[in-house]
Amino acid sequence: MSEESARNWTLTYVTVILVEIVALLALWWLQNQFKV
Amino acid sequence: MHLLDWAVIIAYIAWLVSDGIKRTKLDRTPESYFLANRSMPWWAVGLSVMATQLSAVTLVGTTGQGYTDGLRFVQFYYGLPLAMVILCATLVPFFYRAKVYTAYEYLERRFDLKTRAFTSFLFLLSRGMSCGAIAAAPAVVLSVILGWSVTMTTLLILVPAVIYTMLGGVQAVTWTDVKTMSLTILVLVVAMVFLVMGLPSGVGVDDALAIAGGTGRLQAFDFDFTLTETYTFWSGMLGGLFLMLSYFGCDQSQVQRYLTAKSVDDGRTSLLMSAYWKIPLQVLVLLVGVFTFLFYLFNQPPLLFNPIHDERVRASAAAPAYVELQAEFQDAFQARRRAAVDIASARNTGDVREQARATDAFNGHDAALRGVRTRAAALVKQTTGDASYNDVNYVFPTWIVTALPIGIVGLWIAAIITAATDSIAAELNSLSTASVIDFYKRLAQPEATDEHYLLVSKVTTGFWGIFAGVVAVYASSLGSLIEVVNRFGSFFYGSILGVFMLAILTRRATGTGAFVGLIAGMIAVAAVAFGRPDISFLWHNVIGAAVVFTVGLTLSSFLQEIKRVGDN
Repeated sequence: MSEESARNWTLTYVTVILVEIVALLALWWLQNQFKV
Repeated sequence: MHLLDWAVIIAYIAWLVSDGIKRTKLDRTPESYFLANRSMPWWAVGLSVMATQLSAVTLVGTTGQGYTDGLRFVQFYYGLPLAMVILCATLVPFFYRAKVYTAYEYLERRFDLKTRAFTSFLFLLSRGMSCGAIAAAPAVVLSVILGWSVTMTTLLILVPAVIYTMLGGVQAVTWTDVKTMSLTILVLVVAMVFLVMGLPSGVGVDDALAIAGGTGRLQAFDFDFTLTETYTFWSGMLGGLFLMLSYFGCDQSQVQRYLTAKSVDDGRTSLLMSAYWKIPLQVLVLLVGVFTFLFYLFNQPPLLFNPIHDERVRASAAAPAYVELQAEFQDAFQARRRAAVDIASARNTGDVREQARATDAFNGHDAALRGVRTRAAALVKQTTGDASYNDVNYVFPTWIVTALPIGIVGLWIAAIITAATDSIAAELNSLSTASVIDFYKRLAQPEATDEHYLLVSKVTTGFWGIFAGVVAVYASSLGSLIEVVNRFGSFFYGSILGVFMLAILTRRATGTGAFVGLIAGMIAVAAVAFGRPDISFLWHNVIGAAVVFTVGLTLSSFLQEIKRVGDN
C-alpha cells in the first residue's frame, strides 16, 4: 500500500470513529432531553 | 389479509427470484459461483453485508424489544464501528492478498490443515443449525399472522432462497440483498410515518417522546459494569466488539460478501458502510418499536398479541377469568391513556411539576396494565402448558395487519419474508462454499473440473437448504430450542476469533498451539456458560478469544522451546 493510500485510510478510520461518537452523543441527547 | 396484499407479496418474491437469477453472469467456474469473479461494486457488497446481518428477527423481534425495553438493545452494536475499522486494517487485506475462497483456507496457509478443517467444521455445524433457526423464528410468527401451518411458512421463506442461491450463486444473493435492504429501509420509514400519524391530536412527536422517556424507553446508555446484564455500554463496547470482530472477520457468511468486491479498497469500503449505518438503522428499528408502544397508548391493544393463544384461552375452562381480565385491561388502558394525555397537556403549559406528577401517575397505570397482561399470560401458560409464553414477537406484526392500509401490509409482510430469505440465502451460499472448498475440493476431489465443482456446489446448496428446512420445522415445534441454537454459536465465536488473532498478531503461534488453544477456549466458554449461566453471552466472546490466544501462544512457545532444546 502506498504512503498516500495508507494516510487516506487512516483518515477514513478516524472519520468512522468520529461519526460514531457523534451518533452516541445524539443518543445521549435524546435520552436526557426527554427524561422526566 | 386482503387479496391485494397477497398479490404484492407474490409479485415481489417472484421479481426478487427472477431478477436475481437474470442479473447473474456465471461463466461455469467456482470463482464465478462463489466470488462473482471478484467483480461486485462496493455499494452492492456493502448492502449485502447489512442485509445478511439483518434477518426477519430484526424486523419482528427487535421492534418487539423496542416496544418493551426501548432503545436499550442498541448498546449491543456500540462495538461494531471499531470492529470494522480493526478488520479493515488487519484481516481484510490478508484475505485479499491470500486470494482465498473461505476465511478458513487462510488458516491452513498460516497454520495447518487440521486447524482449517476444524474451524470450518465448527462454522458448518453452527451456521447449518442457525440457518434453521433464522427460518423458524419468523415462520412461527407468520404462521399465526397468516393462519398457515409452520411448515408452509417455512417453505415460503426457504424455497425462494434455495432456488436463486442454487441457480445464481453469490451474484444472485448479492443483488437480492440490495433489493431487500432498500425495501427494508422503505417500509421502516413508512411505518414510522404511519405511527406518527397515529398519534392523537394534541399529542406531538415531542410529547410522545417525553412519554417514552418517562417510561425509560429512550435510555440508550447503561454504564453499570455488570457481567450479568446483557445490554450495557461495556458489554456492547467490549463483548460486542469481540462478537462483531468474529462475525464480520471469521464467519464465512460475512467474509464471502466482501471477498466478492473488486479490490481490497472496495472490500474495506463495503464493510465501512455498516460502520456508518448500522447504529442509525438499529435506532430506527427500535424507535419503530417505541412508537408502536406509543400507538397502543392511544389505541386499544389486544390483551394478548398472539391471536391463537387468545382463541385457546377463550375456548378453555379459564374463559370466565379471561373475560374478567379483559374488562380490567380495558379500564387500565383508559386510565393510562388519560394519564398520557395529561403528560402532553402539562408539557404544553410548561408546568414541569405537573408533568412529573402526570408521569408518575402514568407509570402507575402502566404498571397496573402490565400486571393484567402478566395474569393473562399466566392463564395462557396454564391452558397451553407453554411455560415460556411471551407475545413480544407478535406486537409489531399485529400492528402491521391491523393498522396499515391495504397494499402496505403486503409490502411489510414481503419485507419480513424476504429479510429471512436473504439471510438464509447468504448462509446457504457460504455453507456450500465451505463444504466444497474446505472439504470436498481439499480432501475428496482435488483435481476435478470446474464444471464438476460447480455441479457439486449447487447440489450442496440444495442439501443445506433441506437441512435448514428440517431444523426449522423441528426447532419451531420445540420453541426454546431456537434460543439454544443461537447460544450454541456463541460457544465458539470468540474461540475462532482467538485463532485468527494468533494467525495475524503473532509469528510465534504454531498450528498445534492454535488447535489446542481453540479446544481450550471452547471448554472455557462452555464451563462459564454452564457454571455461571447468569453471565451475559456477549462476554463469552471475550473469554473465548482471550483463552485461545493465551493458551495457543503459551503452548506454541513451549513446543518451540522443546524443539530448540531437542535440536541442540
